[in-house]
Amino acid sequence: MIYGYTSLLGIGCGASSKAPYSIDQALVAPEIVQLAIGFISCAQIDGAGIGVAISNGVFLKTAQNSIAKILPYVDLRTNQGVISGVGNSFYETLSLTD
Amino acid sequence: MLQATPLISTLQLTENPRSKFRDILVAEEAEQSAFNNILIDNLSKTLGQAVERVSLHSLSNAMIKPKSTIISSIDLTRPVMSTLTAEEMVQVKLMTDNVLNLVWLTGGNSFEGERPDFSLDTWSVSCTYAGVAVPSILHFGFGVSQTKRGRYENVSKLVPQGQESETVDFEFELRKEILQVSRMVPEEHMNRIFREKQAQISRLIRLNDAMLALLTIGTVGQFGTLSFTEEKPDLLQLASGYMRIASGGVKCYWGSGSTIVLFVIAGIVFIILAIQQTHVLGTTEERRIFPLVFLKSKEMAILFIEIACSGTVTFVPIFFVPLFYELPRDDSALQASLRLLPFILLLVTMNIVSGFGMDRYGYYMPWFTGGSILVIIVSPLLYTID
Repeated sequence: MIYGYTSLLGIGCGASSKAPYSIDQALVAPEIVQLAIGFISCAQIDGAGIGVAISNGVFLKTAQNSIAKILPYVDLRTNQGVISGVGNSFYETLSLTD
Repeated sequence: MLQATPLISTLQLTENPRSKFRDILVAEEAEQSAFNNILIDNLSKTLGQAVERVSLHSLSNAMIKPKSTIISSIDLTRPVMSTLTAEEMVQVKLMTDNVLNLVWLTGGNSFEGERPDFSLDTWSVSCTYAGVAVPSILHFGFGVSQTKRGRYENVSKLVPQGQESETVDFEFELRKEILQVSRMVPEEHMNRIFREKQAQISRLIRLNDAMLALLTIGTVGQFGTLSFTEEKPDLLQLASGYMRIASGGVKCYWGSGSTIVLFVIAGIVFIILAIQQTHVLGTTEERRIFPLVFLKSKEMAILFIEIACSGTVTFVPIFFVPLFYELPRDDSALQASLRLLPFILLLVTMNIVSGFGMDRYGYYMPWFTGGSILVIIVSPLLYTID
């Protein structure tokens, strides 16, 4: 399921994500092409950075609340440890029934 | 108080008197909701802040903010601590582990001795046996039959006292509408676990479990006083140089000083950059970092927005798909990244194909339209994965 979705997403992103580089080079005068490329790269990295920062914030907060709900006896620091480190020792002690 | 009460140690949990009252939460069961209706009304009027309420069974870790006060009313109508079940123990432990002050209302009325099964001594003894850490406690007992007016007003008086006073463990009894105070003498070993958690006494922990620690010395020259102090991330203070904006709301609160300062600084720096770039200060029109001329062209502005969005939609899956396989699906890091390959391979292939396609046919709009439609349909579908 995930493979299917991510593959389709890959096609979608791939089709539209590098095209602006070619288009803006066609739009501007040849002597400022390098400025145009910088402009577009700046936008791409900005979008990625802000997007990942926001979604990570949402993810951490949601994960913390959900873990607190299923493991109410776990204190806040252990809880945050579970989210940040997959290999941490507390995570390994959890069984399927917990 | 005449009875010999097992004693709970005094903790130095003084609050800054200037600070506002911390969050107040009333824990209840269905039987006390009528009582709490009036109590909460009275409390919020007296203290001038909102008072939340929660039933004991739905109380969870996330609801209790650090340094808050809980008023527990469950002991008013039935002797909770002497008949505690395992599930209730978990809930009570939640309260005692996470709050700064616990105001424990009880229907015990130990002056009259009418209900000996309601009382703090039963509680503190059972807590100690069960290894529960106990925060500062205000214990407030009155008979169930006592007149109503005095009760609410007195509870409202108790809450600020618990938050401001230095000696925090008190026992109060209401008798003939007069509040009687019985100060409890601290007993050191009773509350060892809580004091260890608060780093007030030293303890042994495994190196594996230790957080960042600082080597400190109590008295210079006396090596016996050398010890490690755990550096706990302080949620309320500005941590020097240690702050990640992505942890906003988790490690640092959105309302905390460090988060606000970061946002303000980011805003100011952005405005300065905008001014510097607009008026070409200290640079030349050709060499400035952000070519503003392009924003005047409609196509360029749209391209800017489009590629920022496509950057987001590309990198968020790259970041979270491996995380999804690692955490809930328990894959190794290598396996998880392999599962990202279909996405990456198709992304790269389509980049090349779209480049060739545009070059050959000279149309660019179909690529944007088709790609964006596909992205908009598939991204929500990713949310449906369980």
